[in-house]
Amino acid sequence: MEKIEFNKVSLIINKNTPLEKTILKNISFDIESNKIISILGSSNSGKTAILELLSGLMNPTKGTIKLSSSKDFSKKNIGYLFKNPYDMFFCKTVYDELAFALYNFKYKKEEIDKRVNNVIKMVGLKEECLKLCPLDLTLNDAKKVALASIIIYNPEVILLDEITIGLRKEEKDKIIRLLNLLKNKFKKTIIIATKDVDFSYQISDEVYLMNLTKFIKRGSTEILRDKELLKTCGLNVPKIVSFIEEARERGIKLEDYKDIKDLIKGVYRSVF
Amino acid sequence: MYSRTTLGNFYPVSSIIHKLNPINKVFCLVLYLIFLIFNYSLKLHFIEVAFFVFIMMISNVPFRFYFNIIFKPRYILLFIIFVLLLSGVSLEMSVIILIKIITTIIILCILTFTTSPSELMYGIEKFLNLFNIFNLRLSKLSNKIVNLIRFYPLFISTEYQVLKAIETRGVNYYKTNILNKFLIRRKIFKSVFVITKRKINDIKNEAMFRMFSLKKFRTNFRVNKFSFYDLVYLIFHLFLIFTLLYEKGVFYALFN
Repeated sequence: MEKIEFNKVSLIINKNTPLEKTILKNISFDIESNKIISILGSSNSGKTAILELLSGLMNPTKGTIKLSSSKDFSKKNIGYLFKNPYDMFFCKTVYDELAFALYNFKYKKEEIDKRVNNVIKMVGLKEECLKLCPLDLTLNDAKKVALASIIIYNPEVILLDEITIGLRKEEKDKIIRLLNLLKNKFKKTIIIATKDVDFSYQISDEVYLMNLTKFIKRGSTEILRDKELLKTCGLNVPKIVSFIEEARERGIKLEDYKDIKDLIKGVYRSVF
Repeated sequence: MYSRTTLGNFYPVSSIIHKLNPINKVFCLVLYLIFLIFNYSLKLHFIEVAFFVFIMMISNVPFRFYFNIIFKPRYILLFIIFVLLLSGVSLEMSVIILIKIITTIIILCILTFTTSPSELMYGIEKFLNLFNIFNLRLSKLSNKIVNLIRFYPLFISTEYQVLKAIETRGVNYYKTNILNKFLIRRKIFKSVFVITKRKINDIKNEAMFRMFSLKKFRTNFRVNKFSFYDLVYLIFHLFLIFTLLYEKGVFYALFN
């Protein structure tokens, strides 16, 4: 499997001006393919900057980013979902928004129509919204359209910036199901920058912790049980973990569930 | 997303120029515009340019930002000079007109880089109030003027954002030839204009809400008080006007 390697990467913006700011400081790690990876950290920790470097929108001030197979990284097919989905929209209708990338990659009209219809079903949108202006959509629908607009051209790596902001529990569950489908069926590498520890605990294969421009630790979701470590990054332990630990302290035997529905079943079995 | 500093953007650092009173800045801008329209003396223009270069240096805004803005319309400026020379205007007059255009850009840069939008709106409103014999609501007018100034930098940052968005979908604007760049810009122009208009509308409504007051005074507002440096700034602009009047012989006519 190919890895994406960050080698002593630093990012400084507004260099040699009074507003000079270090966004990333000497980051070195690698990202494996065909996994769902969360980059967790509080505000200003540099999560969005990592995604922007991966997508090629910014270049590192120092260090290099490359594939382990030594192929040119910039040619890797990457889709990037912005934190504010409305920042991605510039077409008149949702259909034009979804079809834009395919027109650029010289797809035929029939193929574009087919892909648009498939992708809106995949993200859970109705056909009626294809005629609407994307700037007039609700936040939830805007996120779906933005996600659809990057999935439609089948990128190998999908970068998601704070995808769960403003979403209710049911919508988050739909996002989780969709991302698992993209990983398992379509073999995508999905990298999520988020502050949502609960979402990250449910969905991630690997977690990368960031704090104030520096890379702290990498591991499985087990590292999200470390209260002290998460405190240094300005985060809290997932609610489901703190509930299970408290239940165990009170003598209720529970396994390490990640999903709330499985937890409820487990609690029912233990108590009754 | 990192916005690009351009004409109309506020550059948030601390400097003597940032701490000047906004009403004084607007008043001095009007004095300067009067000087600009009526002055055709190269000597006075050089004095004025030297002063504004000094102001640029002490404003703590990197010099290259000013230079980039002045350098951008270089082809338009060269074209203007070419047309003037072709139509029989003397070289000295053409140079004077060029200096007028460049110093107008510089003074607008200094004003917008060193004055926050709220302060600028306050300064314009209070200045216009001096002439408000019909007791009009000037807050809306000053809001519109400031939003007009802010339209250009907002347009540039929205265009930059849209170019980033299309890059994530396979169109790399920066790594293509001039013809493709022109075609891409033409394609996205209307969308960028519409998005910028929407943003300006939101900003306008937010500003009116923030500036709203039942008791005729502003809330949550920071104003730089009139200081020694404001006096120096004002005296220089008055000096320009007086020397202009002296050059035109107004004092001679008055006292003879």
